[in-house]
Amino acid sequence: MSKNSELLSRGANAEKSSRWSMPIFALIASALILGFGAFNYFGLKQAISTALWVEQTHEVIAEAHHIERRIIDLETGQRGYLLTGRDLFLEPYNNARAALRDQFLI
Amino acid sequence: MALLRDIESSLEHWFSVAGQYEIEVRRSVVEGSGATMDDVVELINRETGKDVMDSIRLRLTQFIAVENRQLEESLIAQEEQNSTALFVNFLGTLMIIGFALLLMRAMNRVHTQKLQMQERTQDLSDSDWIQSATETTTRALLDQTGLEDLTQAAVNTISDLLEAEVAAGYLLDANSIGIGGRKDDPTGQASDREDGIHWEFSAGFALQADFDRARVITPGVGRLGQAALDGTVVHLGHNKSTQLVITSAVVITVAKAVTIIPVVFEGQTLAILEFVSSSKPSERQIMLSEKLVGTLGLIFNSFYETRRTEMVLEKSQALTIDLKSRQADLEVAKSEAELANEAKSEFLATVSHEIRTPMNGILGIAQMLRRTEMSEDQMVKLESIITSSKSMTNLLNDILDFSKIEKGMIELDPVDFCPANAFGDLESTFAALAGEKNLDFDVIYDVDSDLVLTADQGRIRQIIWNLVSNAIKFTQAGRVKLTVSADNIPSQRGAAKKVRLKVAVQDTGIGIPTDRQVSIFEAFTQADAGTSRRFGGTGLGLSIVSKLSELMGGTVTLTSEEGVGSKFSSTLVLPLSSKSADEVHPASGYTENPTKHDRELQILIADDQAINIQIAKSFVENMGHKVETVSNGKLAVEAVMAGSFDLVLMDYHMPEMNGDTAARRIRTSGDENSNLVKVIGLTADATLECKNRLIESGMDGVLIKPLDENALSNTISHLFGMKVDKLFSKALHDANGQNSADNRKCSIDFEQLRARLGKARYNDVLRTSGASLNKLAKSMKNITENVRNAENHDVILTALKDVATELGAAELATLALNAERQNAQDAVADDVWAELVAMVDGVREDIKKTDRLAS
Repeated sequence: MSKNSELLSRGANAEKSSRWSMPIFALIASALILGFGAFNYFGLKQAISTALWVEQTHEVIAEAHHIERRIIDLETGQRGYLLTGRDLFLEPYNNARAALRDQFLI
Repeated sequence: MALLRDIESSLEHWFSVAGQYEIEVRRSVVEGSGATMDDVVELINRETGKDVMDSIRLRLTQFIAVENRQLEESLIAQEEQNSTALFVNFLGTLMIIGFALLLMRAMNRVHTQKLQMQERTQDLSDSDWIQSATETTTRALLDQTGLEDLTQAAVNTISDLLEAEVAAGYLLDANSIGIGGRKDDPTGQASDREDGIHWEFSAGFALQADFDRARVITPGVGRLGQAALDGTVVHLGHNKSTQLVITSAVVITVAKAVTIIPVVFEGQTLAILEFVSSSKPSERQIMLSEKLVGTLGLIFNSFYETRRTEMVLEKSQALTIDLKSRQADLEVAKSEAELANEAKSEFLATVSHEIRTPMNGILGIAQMLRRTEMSEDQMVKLESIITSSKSMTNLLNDILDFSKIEKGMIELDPVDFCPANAFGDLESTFAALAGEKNLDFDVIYDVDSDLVLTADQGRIRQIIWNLVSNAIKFTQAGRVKLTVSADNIPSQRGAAKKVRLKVAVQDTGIGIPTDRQVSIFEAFTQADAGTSRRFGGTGLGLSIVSKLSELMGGTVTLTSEEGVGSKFSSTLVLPLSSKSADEVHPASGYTENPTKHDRELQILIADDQAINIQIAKSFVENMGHKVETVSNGKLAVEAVMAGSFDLVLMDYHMPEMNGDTAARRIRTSGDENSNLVKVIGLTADATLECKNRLIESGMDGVLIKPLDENALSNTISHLFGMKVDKLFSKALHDANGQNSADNRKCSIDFEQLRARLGKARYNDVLRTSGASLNKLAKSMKNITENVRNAENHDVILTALKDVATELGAAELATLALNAERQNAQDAVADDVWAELVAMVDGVREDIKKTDRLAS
C-alpha cells in the first residue's frame, strides 16, 4: 500500500509542476513567434520599398541614356545635312526631334 | 525633373540658335537664294551648337553617375536586408521546430502519466481484490477444527476464487510431521523418499466418480510432486495430450488451465492443492495463487502444530502418571524427613527444657555454696561449676528459642514503642559486660525521639542482646559500638507507612574469614572449630538473630575482616504506629493526670499485693473514679454481689480464689449487678495462652503487669465507650535472653520506673515495695532454712513476681515467674529459692541505694 501511495504522490508532484510549466512554455513560444512575425512584416515592407526605388532608378538611368542617344541622333542628322544638303540626312534629326518632343512633351 | 526641364530648355535653345538655324542656312545654299557654304562653315566654326550640346551631354553624364551611385547603395541595402531576414527567419524556424519538439515531448509525457495512472488504478483494484480474497480464505480456514476440514475448506474457498470447476487437495502424511526442512538439505530429494514423505488425498471439489482417491503424491513425482518439491505455484495451459472433460448435468467442457498451489511453511510443503478451470486464469487470480502459498502455509502449520501438541500432550500425560507415582513416593519420603526433623526439634526442646530445671538446681546450689567457707581450691572449682552451669543454661535457652523458631512456634507480639528509649536498660548491662573485659562500649542512637513503631520489642531486644554479647565475647581489646538508626521507607499510596530500623554492632574482635561469612548464620556454627574452644558458646545466637530478622521482614548483613573486626547489621522493616510518642511511653515531662475520664465509675481492685493495689488505685483515682479494694478472689465475688461496681480490676494469682475463678463465679451467679460489671484481668504472664484463659473466664479485657497508666485508661474508656482505643496494651519489659545476665548489673531500671509512675508515686512505690520485699525475703529465708511452717510457697512466689514486675525488675520477675510455674507442677528446688533470695537481696540493695541517692 505504501508503495502505491508513494507512486500516487509522485504523480501528483509531476502534475503540480507541469500545471504551471505548460502555460509558461506556451506563452514564451507564442511571444517569440509573434516577434518573428512582426520582424518579418516590417523587414518585408522595407525590402519592397527598396526594390521599387531600385526599379525607378533603373528607369531614370535608362531614360537618361535614351535622351543622350537622341541628342547624338540630332547632331548626326544635322551634320549629314550640313555636309550634303540632301534632305535624306535630315531624317534622324527629325525622328530624334519628334521623340524628344514626345519625351519632354515639347 | 529639374534636370529634364533644364535639358529641354537647352535643347530649345540649341534648336533656335544652332540646329534649325544652320539647317535653314544650308537650305538656302541649296536653293541658291543668297547664302554660301562659307556662311555655313562660319556658323559651325562659331561653335554655338557644339557648346550647347556639350553642356547637355555633361549634365546627362553627371545625372547618370549620381543615379548609378544611388542604385548601387540601394542594392547594397537590399542585400543587407535580405541576409538579415534570411538569418532571422532561419533562427525563427529553428526555434519553432524546437518548440514543436518540446511540445511533443510534454504531450508524450502527459500521455504516459495518464497511462501510468490508469495502470495504477488497475493495480490497486487488483491488489484490493487479492487482499479481500486472502482475507476471505483466511477467515474461512480459521473457523475449521481439524486438518481434513481445513483442506476441504481451502479447496472450496479457493475454487470459488479461482473459478475452478474441479479441485483436489492433498495433505502431508501425519507421520511425516516433524521431519525437518527439505531446503536445508542438498540431497533432499533422495532423503525425502527414504523418509517416506508423501501427501495423501484429503479433499475434493466436484471430482468425477472415477477419480483415484488412493493415489499418493511423492516428492518430485508428477506435476503435483514437482510443485511440492519446488514449493512454487504451477500454472498449466490447455494441454491436448491430457484432456480433462468437465461434466455437469447440463454441459460438458474441456479444461483450459490447471493451477497447482503447494502450501509451504518454512520450506516444508504441508499440502498440495490442484485447481482445474475451463478458462484461463486472470492476472489477479495468478497473483492470488502465488500469495496464498505463504498465507496457507501459516494456517496449515498452525493446525499441524496443534496436532503435534496434542500428540505431545498425550505422551506427556503418560509420563505424568509415571511421575505422579514417583512424586508420591518422594512426598512420603519428604514427610518422613520432616517428621524426623520435627521430632528432632521437639526432642531438643523437651530435653533442653528438662535439663534446664536440674541446671537451675546446680546453679542455685553452687551459688549457695559460694557463701559457705571454702578453701581456695574449692572456691576455684566452684566458680568453674557456676560458669559452666551458666553457659549451659545459656545454651539451653538458645536451643529452646531456636527449636521454637524452627517449628514456627514463635509468635511476634507487636506493641507500640519508642525505639529511642526502649533499649536504655540493655545499655547499662552491656557497659558492665564490656567493662569486665576492659572494652569501650559506645551506643549511638540515631532515632527520632518521636518515632513510634509497632513491633515485638522483646524480639528486637533479643537481636540486640545476641549481637552485642557476641561482639563482646569475641573482642579481646578495643571497642564495641552499637548503632540504632531508623529511616522512613518511602511508602506507596495506600500502604501503611513503614520504617527501616537498623541495628548495627561493630567490634574490633577476631573477625570472620570470608569463606565462613555465610555459614556463620547457620545453626551451631562458629568461625572455626577452634573458636568454640576458645570462646565457648553454641553458635546459635547469630542463627536466631537471622531468623528473627527475617521474621520481621529484615535481613542481617555482615562485613568482617579477619583480625580487624566485624560489623553485623540487622535491618528490620517495621510498621509505623499511629500513636504519638507521648501516648506510648511517658516522656520525662510526664504530667500527673493525662486522662481525666468524663464519668465517675465505681471500681473494685482485687489484689493481694499492697503495692499493686497502691499503684492501681492511684491510677484510677487519677482518672476520677471511686475505688474499693479487696485482697482475694472470694472477697471480690462477694463485694460485687453486694455492691454496685462498674468495674473490677482482677489480679490473676490471688490466695483463696484466683482471678479467673472469681470472674467465672461473677459471670455465672445470675445476679444482675454481676452481669453488668466489667472485669479487667491483670497478669504478669504475657503469653497469649494466659490472656485467652482470662478472656474465656468472662473478663472483658486483660492488662499485662507492670500496669501502665495509659493502657489502663485506654482500656477503661474503651469498655465504657468513653474513648475508643486499642483494647490490649502491653508494656512488659521482656527480659528474653537476659535471665541469666550478670548479677552485678542494676536490677531495676529506676529511670524508666520514674518516667512511668511520675515522681510522687515513684517514691511511694519504692517505699512500699521495699517493705514488701523485706517481708518476702524473710519468708523465703525461712523456706531455704527449712522452716517448714513457712507461708504457702505459691503465695510468696506470686507476690514476689508481682512486686518485681511492678518495679520493672525484669530478671527477678522472670525468675519468679519460672519458679511459680515450676511450683505449680512440682516443688521449687532449694537452689531456685536461693537464687531468688540472692536476687531479692540485690534488688533491695539497689532500692536502698537509690533512696540514699534521692535523699
